[in-house]
Amino acid sequence: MEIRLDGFSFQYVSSQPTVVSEVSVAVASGACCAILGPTGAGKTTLLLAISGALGAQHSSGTGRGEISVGPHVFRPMPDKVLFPQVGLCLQEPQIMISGLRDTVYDEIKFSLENISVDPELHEEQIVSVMERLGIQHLRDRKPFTLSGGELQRLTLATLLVVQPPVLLLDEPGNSLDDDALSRLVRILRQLRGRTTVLFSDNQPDLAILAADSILIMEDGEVISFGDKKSFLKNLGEFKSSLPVRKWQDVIRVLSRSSSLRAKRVKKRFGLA
Amino acid sequence: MSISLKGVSFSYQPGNPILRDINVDIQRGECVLILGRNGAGKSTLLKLLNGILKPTAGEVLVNGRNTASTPTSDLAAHIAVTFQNPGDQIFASSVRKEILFGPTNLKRQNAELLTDKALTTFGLGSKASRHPYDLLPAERKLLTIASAVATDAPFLAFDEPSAGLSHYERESFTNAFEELKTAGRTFIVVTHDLDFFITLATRVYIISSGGIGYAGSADDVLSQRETLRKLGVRIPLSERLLGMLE
Repeated sequence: MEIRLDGFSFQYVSSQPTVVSEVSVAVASGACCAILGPTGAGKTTLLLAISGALGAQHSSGTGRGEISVGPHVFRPMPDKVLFPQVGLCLQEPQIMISGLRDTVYDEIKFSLENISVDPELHEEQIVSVMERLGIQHLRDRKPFTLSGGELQRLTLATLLVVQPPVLLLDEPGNSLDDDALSRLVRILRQLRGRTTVLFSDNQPDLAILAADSILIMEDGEVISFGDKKSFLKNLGEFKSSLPVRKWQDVIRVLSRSSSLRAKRVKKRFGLA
Repeated sequence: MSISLKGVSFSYQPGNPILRDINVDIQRGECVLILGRNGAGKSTLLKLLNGILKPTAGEVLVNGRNTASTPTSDLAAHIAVTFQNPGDQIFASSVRKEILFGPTNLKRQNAELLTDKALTTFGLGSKASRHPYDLLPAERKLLTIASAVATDAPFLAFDEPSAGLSHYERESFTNAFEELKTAGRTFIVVTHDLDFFITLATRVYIISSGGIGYAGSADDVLSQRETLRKLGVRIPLSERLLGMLE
């Protein structure tokens, strides 16, 4: 499903500044777009707006422009949560857990129950999602006894099991260890072509590893929107919005090196 | 002034210890990082430091006070802990009230002053009258850290304090950290963000399989890439690539 925003703006309270201003971007069906920027850039608001949660919960806010999710055009944005077409994973995993199920397995199963899918027919699917996220050993644990990183993986599992055509992830790499982060990258790559993914982050690493396009925001406005190659080639332009210093070093080393390894990395990042 | 963990074990369920025989000494003025995989027991270790959890074996001494027999309200004057999820600890109706609660409750003479200072240090001054839940998640995180600092406790233990902070907040966080360190405050930081904390740290512990899988000085840890990888510690991709290409 393609996601398109045309001149989308939003203000939570009329007396306060606009948190998202005139955002116009299109993310093709099955592509992965990273939304990068510092705190307060408007990244979360954008994800909430596309998911329908913003329109459903902040009716006192003022929106302009339009948001399209696949063939559906919403002016200015959807006014109800679009789950299960759109899955949204919030930054604080604690609030994503239902509190109604006693085990990790049942919490994931609960997602399927919610969309009237018989979970008994989909046991393999639940097991597979747990394996992909490396949480199969937590299968019988109570969700609220999990650590922060484990909980974050569980919330991702509850969404992935539903296979929404659009997946929105708000800073999904926070609190993940090395293994979980590698798994997340693998999953994002596997979803390419099937699921449209938009994720936010304030660091560039996950975007460089997994995104096709990168949207950079600051103070609610789009600073840049383009492919990964142009992002990496113009890193210096983003140093006030993002921690890119080390990446500038990487690009410098890559441009000087003609080793096989450097060639491989360049190819992977589309710089060859 | 010190914190000592002597042969500390802890189990949430009998017979299934998450931490086993942990021995750690933390001296005043240090900045100790606690790393490890998701679910390794890092946050549990922090909760043992301020007496929220009591060891099932061994003892935790905070400035000589055994956490098993000292009320947590007394320990709060010595150590302030922030949780990974700010929502687990925020309860006041404004940012200022939230910060003021700690020093007032501990009967600090200069509670107002400590509060104002913490508000300024963490860039929350303009948001003092806002409801904590009107803040952005990163700002809520800073609020919990500011609240801990305002207690004037000599030991500060933070659970993933940099998660979700963009480089603006990281900069002010670093400055605040340096200032507090110079003033003699001691830090125990649970994190996946070795890259950010390594320049501030004095020592690093990596928890693995319930025990200390690695203990070393902050100066040495980055040269132990293989150990870090084996113990599940995140090394930023840019850092990895530079290591590979140079």
